[in-house]
Order: sequence, then structure tokens, then C-alpha cells
Amino acid sequence: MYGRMLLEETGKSAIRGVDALGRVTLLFVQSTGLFLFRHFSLSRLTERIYEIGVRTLPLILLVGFFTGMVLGLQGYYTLVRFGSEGLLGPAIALTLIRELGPVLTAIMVVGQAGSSMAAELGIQRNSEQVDALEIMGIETRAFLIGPRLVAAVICFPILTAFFDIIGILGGYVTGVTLLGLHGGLYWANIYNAVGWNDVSGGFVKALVFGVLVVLICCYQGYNTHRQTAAFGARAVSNSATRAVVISCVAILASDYIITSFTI
Amino acid sequence: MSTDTVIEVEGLHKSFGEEAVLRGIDFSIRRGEVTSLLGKSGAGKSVLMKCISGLVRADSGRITVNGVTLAGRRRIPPGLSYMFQNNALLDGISAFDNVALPLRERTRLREREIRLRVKRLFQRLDLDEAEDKFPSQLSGGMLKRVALARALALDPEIILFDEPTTGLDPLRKVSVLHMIERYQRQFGFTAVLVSHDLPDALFISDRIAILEAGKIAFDGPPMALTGAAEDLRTTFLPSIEGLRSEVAGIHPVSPDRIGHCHFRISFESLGERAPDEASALPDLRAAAFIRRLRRSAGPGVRLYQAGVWSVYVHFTDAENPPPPARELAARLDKGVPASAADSARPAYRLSLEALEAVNGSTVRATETFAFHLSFSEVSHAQTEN
Repeated sequence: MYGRMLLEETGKSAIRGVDALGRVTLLFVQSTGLFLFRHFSLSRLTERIYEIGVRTLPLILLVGFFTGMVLGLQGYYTLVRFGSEGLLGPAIALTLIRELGPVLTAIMVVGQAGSSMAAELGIQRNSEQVDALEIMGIETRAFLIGPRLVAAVICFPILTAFFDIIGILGGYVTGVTLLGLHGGLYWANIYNAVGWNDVSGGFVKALVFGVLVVLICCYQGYNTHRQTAAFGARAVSNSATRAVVISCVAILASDYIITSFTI
Repeated sequence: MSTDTVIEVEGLHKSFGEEAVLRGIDFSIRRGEVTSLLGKSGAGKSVLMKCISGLVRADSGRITVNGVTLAGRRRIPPGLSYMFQNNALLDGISAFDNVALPLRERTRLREREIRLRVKRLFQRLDLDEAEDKFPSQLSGGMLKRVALARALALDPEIILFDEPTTGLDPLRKVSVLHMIERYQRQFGFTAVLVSHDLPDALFISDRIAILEAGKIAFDGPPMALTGAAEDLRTTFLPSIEGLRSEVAGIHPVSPDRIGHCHFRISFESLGERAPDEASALPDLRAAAFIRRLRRSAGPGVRLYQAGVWSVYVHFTDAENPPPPARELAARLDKGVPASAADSARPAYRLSLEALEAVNGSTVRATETFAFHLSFSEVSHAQTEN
């Protein structure tokens, strides 16, 4: 009896999951395609670049700097035990460029722009603004979601680059300025250790995370009205929460998958 | 579908899960008319409107809008606009940009032409002050007018109004309905109004349709409702009387009535507006004149203001027959003061259009009395009010 119920519930969840995956994929293809090829608007794209890129940049710089400083501190005291403190620069740079840069940037964007994106779309859906756009004959996926996805593709690699650079500078402040490591050694080792593969791998991750984050957040907000467990403000809050949680899980899961293919 | 029919619904069914909301809707809407769709809460009025507008896909049946059949497809019909219950203005952009949005997205007009068109719409709807404000900075009435301006931006043939007066106080309700009536005449669109508890919509409607248990239970002119099935009359007619009392504070049925006629009031601006006139509510001006007319009605004739733009004339003198229509009009005209100067250019026209005349009334239904007024008279009446 219980075994059958468990099986049924598992089956239903699996079907819901596949259904959602299909919807998300369709949303991605239609939104991007319609925006780029039929309803392109530079002003709308610029607005979204400002929303995702410019408004998130100060946070990225702040978090990146402190992340680099912490890495510098931890790395220095670990490496000094083995007499390898000269490798502090490459350790920080590779950690940031390969892993922490793309992952933390994506998580910061989720917190700063992703949740507000989901909430904004959820409110627009609940207050019939999306219906109003449809009645006006405006293609809502191209109008609301397409520009955000394209903006994410543009902004995420740039934000990640800023995160990496400011993080390496943070490591320099800790390792060289505070702990007395030789500055020339720090930069020279980074120059020798970091290759194009490391940089491109990081950018691939940034691109994938960007699309995933914006797609998940927009999907949650855009489909707020489909929720059956909550309505109104609660539904919007659920959408924002789910957008953040699912995005973070998706970032880490996809990070593992990409790393396993590119390492 | 005849050329006069702009919307035709045939055998429409719509269910949500196991709950059947629409169970075979058949009705049509004629060009240029104001049709009110009435029904209790949850009767499926909004679902029907959303099916017509293409926002919700019907399970079965056929909807034809402007000659285009929407059967089985989720598609927005051409020439149709929708004014949402909560206005649904985009809250991140100004009122001006909200109205300009459909023009920017749907037409190839240049920005200069778009600005010109939107400014013209704002002027016609008395919205000049609202241009740069965001929706959250506007009053309820202004929001409705901005929403109407947006609905009118693409020159639609049909506008669907989804419960445009829900949640408003009685004065605001009649103000919004007056606005719809006025602009419907001005712009000439076909209007469909949804309401669940607002029989006052009857005063501006050419036709009403009542939705009961997922079907159209009544479809006809408002006055035919008195001849409708018993259960409909007992459900809707008392609420109309109740609303009349709520709006006007009086009951329109006097015990000594021997006959009556029911007029619709309209107040039309003929020339340029005086500078301070833009902010005055036309409803209040109309109300001030009705008071004056009431004073001059003479013996055996009583005027009751049944809604802010609806007036009943009751004939109460059983000894003397009701005066002929022309004499009645002349008597009422005395209620409107002579112009301060004969040279005063008429600024407004107040019209009393007879909607219903029964029991020995000498006025024929559709007969219209018109009075011309100058601006000074309007100001005077307003001060009195």
C-alpha cells in the first residue's frame, strides 16, 4: 500500500520534473529567438545590462576583494608550512579563475538581481500586467525574458572577469602587503601558471551559469500564476525563494558537470 | 455573423479541473453598442471575457471577433482591447510611456508621431497633469483614465471592461461609468462591461446579458429585464433599486405615481474649456442642474435623481393629465437660468434622453430634450451644488 503510494508520488514528481525541464527549455529557445530575430530592442537590452551588470558590479567587487584576501590568508599559512609560499599567487589565481570566480559571481547575481527578477515578473503576472502586454499584441517572452537572457550572456563573463581580477588583487594585499611576500614573485608565478584553458574554462562556466540563473529566475517569476499551493503575495514570495534556491543548486550541480568535462 | 455583429460566441464551454464554469454560452455583441455582462461572483463572467480576448483557451465552442474565429487557439483577436479590473498598468514606467507602449511596440510610427498621438489622447481624457507620473503616484480616477487611454491607443473597435468599478465608492463608481459612456460616444468603440454587483451599469448599457450557472440566462435591452424570468427579476431588480437609493439617497418609486418616464442625462462640452473646468466632475455639474430642473417641474410633476446621470420624472396628479412632452420640456427649461448675456456663447449641452416611458406618460422613449448652457451658468450651478 505505502510502497505503491511512494511509487506513484515518485512517478508524479519525475513527470513534473521532466515537464518543467521541457517548459524551461522551450522558454529559453522562444525568448531568446524571438528577442534576437523578431523583436530586438537595443534600449531594452541596455536596461537589462544595467540591471544585471552595472547594479551588481559593486557587490561583485566587494565580495571578490574579500574572497581574494581570505584565500591569501589561508593559502599563505598553509603553503608556508611546506616552504611553498611563493605559489600563493597561482593558488589564488587558479582557484578564482577556475572555480570561485564564476560560482560566487553567479551566486551574487542570484542574490542581487535574480530574486528581484523573479519577484518583479511574479508581481507583473499577478497584477495582470503580463496579460495586458499580451492583449496589446506584445510578445511577452521577447519583451520580458529575452533581453534578460541576452544581457546575462553579455554580463556574466565580464562580471566574472572583474571578480577574478579584484580577487587576485585582494590576495596580493594579504600576501604581499600584509604578510611580506615578494610582489614580483606573486605576479610572475601567476603569469607562468595560468593558461588559456583555465581562463576559457572559467568563462564557459560563467556563460552557462548566466543562462541558468536568469532562465530559472525568469521561469519562476513568469509562471507564478501556475502555483497551486499559494496565491497572491505568498506566490510571489515563493517564486523568489524558489528562484534563489534552485539557481544555487543548479550552479553547483552544473559546476561539477562542467568541471568533470573540462579538467 | 451579420455585419453588425462584432463578437459572436457559440456553444462555448470552459472547465477548470472538474469544475465547469461555462456550459454552452451563445450570445453576440453588436457594433457600437454598450453591453453589460452581469452575474453573481464566480458566475464565469471574467472567464468568458478572457476567452473572448484570447487570454484563456476555451475547451470547446466557437468565438468570432471581427470576423476572425478563435476556436481552439490562444490568440489575441484583432481590433480588441481590454481594460483590466486593476488597470494593469506597468508600474515601472510613467503614465505617458504606458500609453505610448503599444504604439512603440506594435506600429512603425516615428517617436515624434507617437508623442503627438499620446499627447492628444491625454488632452482628450483630461490627463495632462499625469504625463510624467508613475502609476503609483496617480489617483484611482486618473489610473482608470490612463488605462482607458492605453486601451484606446491602437484605435480598437472593441474594448472589454473587466469590472471597471469594483471596489470604488458610489461617487467614483458613477464617475467611472460616466467616463466609459462619454468616451464610448466620443470614440465610437463597442464596449463590453463585466459587473457582478453594479446594476448602475444598466444606465449606460444598450444591452445586458446575465450569466447564470454557466449559461446566458437573459440577453436583451435593460428595460426588458422587467419581463424576464421570475428568479432573475428577484435577483437583480431589487439590487438596482438598492443601488438607486445608495447613489441618490432617495427611492424612485413614489406612492402617488400615475405614470413615469426615465431619462438618461448627458453633459457635453461644446466649445473650449474654461481654465478651471478641467478639474470639475461632470457628474456634480449634472447633479446641480437636476436640482434646478426639479424646482421648476411644476405641479403634478416630480423629478427623482435615480443615479448621478439618471433621472425619473413621475406624474402624480391624478386629476390633471400629464403635460404634453413639449410643455414638460418648456417647464423644465425654466429651471435653467437665462444666459447672463444673450451674446454668451453656449458652452455645454445638457441632454435628457428618454429611455423608458410608461403608464400614461406623454414622453416617448428615445425622445430627447436638450438645453444649452453657458459657462457662467455652469459655474453658478456648481457653486449652488
